[in-house]
Formats: sequence, C-alpha cells, structure tokens
Amino acid sequence: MAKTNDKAILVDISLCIGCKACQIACKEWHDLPATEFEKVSGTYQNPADRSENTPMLMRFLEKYDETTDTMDWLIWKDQCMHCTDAPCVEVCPSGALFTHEDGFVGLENDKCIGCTYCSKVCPFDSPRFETDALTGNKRMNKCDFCQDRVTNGELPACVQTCPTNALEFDTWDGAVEKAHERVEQIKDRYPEANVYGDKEMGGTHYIYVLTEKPETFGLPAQPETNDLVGFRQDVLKPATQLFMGATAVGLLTNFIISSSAFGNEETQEDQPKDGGEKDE
Amino acid sequence: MSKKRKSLVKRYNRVDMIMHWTVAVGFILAMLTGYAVFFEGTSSLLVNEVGFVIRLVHRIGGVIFVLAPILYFIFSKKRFGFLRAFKWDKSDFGWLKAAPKHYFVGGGDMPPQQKYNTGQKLFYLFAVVFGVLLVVSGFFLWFSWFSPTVGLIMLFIHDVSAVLLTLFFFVHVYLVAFHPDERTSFNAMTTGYMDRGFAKHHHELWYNEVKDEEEKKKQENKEVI
Repeated sequence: MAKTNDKAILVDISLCIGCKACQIACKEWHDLPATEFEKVSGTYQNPADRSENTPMLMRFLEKYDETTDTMDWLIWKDQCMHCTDAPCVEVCPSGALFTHEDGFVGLENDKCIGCTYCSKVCPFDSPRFETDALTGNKRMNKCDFCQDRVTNGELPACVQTCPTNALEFDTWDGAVEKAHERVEQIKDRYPEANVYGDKEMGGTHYIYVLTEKPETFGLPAQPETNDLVGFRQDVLKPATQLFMGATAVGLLTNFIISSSAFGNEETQEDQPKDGGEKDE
Repeated sequence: MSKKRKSLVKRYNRVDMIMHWTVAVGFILAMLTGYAVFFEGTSSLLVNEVGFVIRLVHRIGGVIFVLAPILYFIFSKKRFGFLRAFKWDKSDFGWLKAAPKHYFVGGGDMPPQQKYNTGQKLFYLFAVVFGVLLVVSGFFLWFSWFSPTVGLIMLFIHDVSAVLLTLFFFVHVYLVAFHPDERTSFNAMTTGYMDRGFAKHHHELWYNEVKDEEEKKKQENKEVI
C-alpha cells in the first residue's frame, strides 16, 4: 500500500472544463515537440492517442442522453497512473523506472534501454515508444510526475496550471480522504460517482473522482497484470545463475576427474600400438 | 600424407561444416549480446551508440542463425538429416544410463552408436526445437505488431529457450574442445575427417557401415581392374 508520506495528484472529473491547459503545460515543461494535428471526429480530443511526445492527454467522451435530449461531456486526464505495486518497476532491467521516495513511478530516461518490457506489463497501457525501424531501438516516455519539480518543492506542471482546481497536489492520504468527501458531495448530480485509484494496483498516485463507472472511461475496473511479470526477475535470473554455476562446476569437475582417468588409458593404449600395427 | 589419410574416415561434407560454423557464429553473437540485456550490470551498456551496436549485432546474429539452416535445407541433399535426431531406440537409453560414468572415468557399458551418439542427438534435438522457439519468439519481439500479453509470453519463451540452449551450448563446446577423451572429435567438424580409431570406438554402427562401403568400393575397383 501507499506510504503515508507519499504524494498524490487528485483529479476531480466533475470540476474539469476540458481546457487542455494541463496537456500543454506538460509538453511545455518537458520540452516536447508538437505533434501533427489529428482529427478525432465528434470530439474535441487531439491528438487521437498518447505518444512519446504526448505523455498526457485529455480524453473527451461525448455522451448523448436521448431521454432528456441532453449532451454530457466526460473529460478525463489520461497518463501514467503511478501505481504503488508498479509492475513496470518490477520488470525494468536497467533501473530506468523506479519508485521515487515520494511514492510515484519515476523515470530516468538516460538509463532506458528500450526493451519495452514495461509496456508489456502495464495494465493502463501507459509507456509509449519512439522506435527505430532498423534496430528496433526504442526510447520510452511516460508521465514522470514532474519529478524534477516535485523534488524541488514545486507543484507538477499540470496542477500548477489547472484553472478550476480540478487537479490538486496533496499527500496520498489527504487526496484519498478529499476524494471520498467530493464523491459524497456530488452524489446527487452523479449517482455513479466513485473514487478510482485508492485501491487499484496497491493504490495509484493519481486519485480520481469519477462521475461514471471506470469502464465508461475505458479504465480497467480491476487493473491487473500478467502472472508472468515477475518470472524473469524472480525465477529465471536466479535459476540461470544457478544453472550456469552448476554447469561450470560440473564441467570443471569432469575435466579434472576425466583428465586423470583418460590420461592413464591413453598410455595403456599406446603401448600395443608401438609394438606394431597388426590390428589395422 | 597418404599414411595419415589411411587412418581417417570422412565424416562431414564442406556444406555441413559451413552450415555448422555459420549457425555457431550467429548463435554466439546473439548469445553474447542477448545476455547484455539479461543481467543488470551489463544492461547499462545498451544506451547510446554502444547499445545501438549491441542491438544491431543481436539482430544480425539472429538472422545468421536463421538463414544458415534455411539455405542448407534448400541447397543441401541431406536436408532431412536433422530428422535422425528424433529417432530414438533402446541403445539411446542404454547410453544415457552409462554416460555419466563414461564421461567421468571412462569405460561403462556404452551401447554401440550410430553416426550421432545419443548426446549429439540430444543436442541436435535441443538445437532444432529450442532454436525454432527462439527464432519465432524473437520475431514476435522484434516487430511489435502483437498485443502486450503475446509479447510477454514470447519473452518468456525467448528467455527459457535461450537459457536452455546456452547451457547445452556450454556442454557441447566443453565436450568437443576440452574433454580429454572427446576432444579429438573437434577435428571432424573442422577438417571433415575423423580419426579411425575414435570412429570405431564411439560410433561403431556408423563405422561398420562406412567400412562395408569402403570394402564394396575396393571390390568394385578390383573387378574393374
């Protein structure tokens, strides 16, 4: 579970007006280039999906209710969820992904070797890659919680820029408590309102106040990761070292024993040969 | 020269040897670069230009490892030779029983062997089965056209077959290059010829076949003369 001194970002969907300021602030702070305009028909969303240059994206879902003839916007902030039990940190072979002392999943891009294991295990499909076609060389990018700002006592860029206080930076416990209070407050307007992220994956470091069920937003109700995740780190690596060691010891033992054993045999075999080649 | 030739038996064609060594080179290149990702200490090598080279070499090794047997299959007459690795009989189990003693101190009741003894068959079997698994899973990992879960399963297959092949590879290399009794067989794969005494002792059934053929030829020659 999340530790008490962990930091978290509270996202209140009901307060979001979809201005995308956070999306721009994120790009601005991380010095990421603009991407080609993509028309996603029927929504204000752009681009269509997250990428290595857009680690954070405002997703727009337009919901039309025929019974009341009204339109509802579901807008949510999509980026790395910063799990406490982060499978990506578990599989990362180079330590590029790590659990920061503030609890979120940090990213040291210089160490990333582009193996893509993190994308194979992420239940939220967060890591995105820049790929080199020839060698398959890849570079990963995802939300890094503005680790450089947070460690220096600043707010994450998206929180700093949010004009409606839909984003709040707080301690993890504080954020969860506030989230539950908010849900109680908006229950009349949004009967399906719920808190997302307080229990998922050991507690994520983005705490969401959702106005609809998580599935409506495309979020997994029960995010989970494949059982094979820990296999390489927990079973295969130690087993490999053990087997390699055992093989080396076995072969060395064999060499020592057999050297003496077969050495004697050779000399015995040689003697009759020296006597003459009658056998052949 | 002629005297030396007499005590040798032809074992491999040039094509066989080229294919064996090409596969070996491909495997070694891919193995060395592959383990760079596997172990934590060396994985830091994979960033920047060094990483670029390592990745490229891993793929070049993989392609060599795949292409050599495919070309061999297309152009060599012995294309189905690998099937003999799947033919097992009682003598093979006898071999397995006697092998530990034999390889440590010599002796033991080793049943007479075919051209490839049980150990070699076993290695061939491993190379074919896990080589195919390695190549197929490697293809899936190289091109990320597939779902993450598929990728994870392929990674699992790639890892396990790589480790098993590596262990077998070490045993294989040790036996032909270092083991005091077996190391003469190294010459067979480098020159194509095997010591007659060794052939008789280690591959008796095959040696008898060769001998019969030689005698047939001799008789034919005599008849011609």
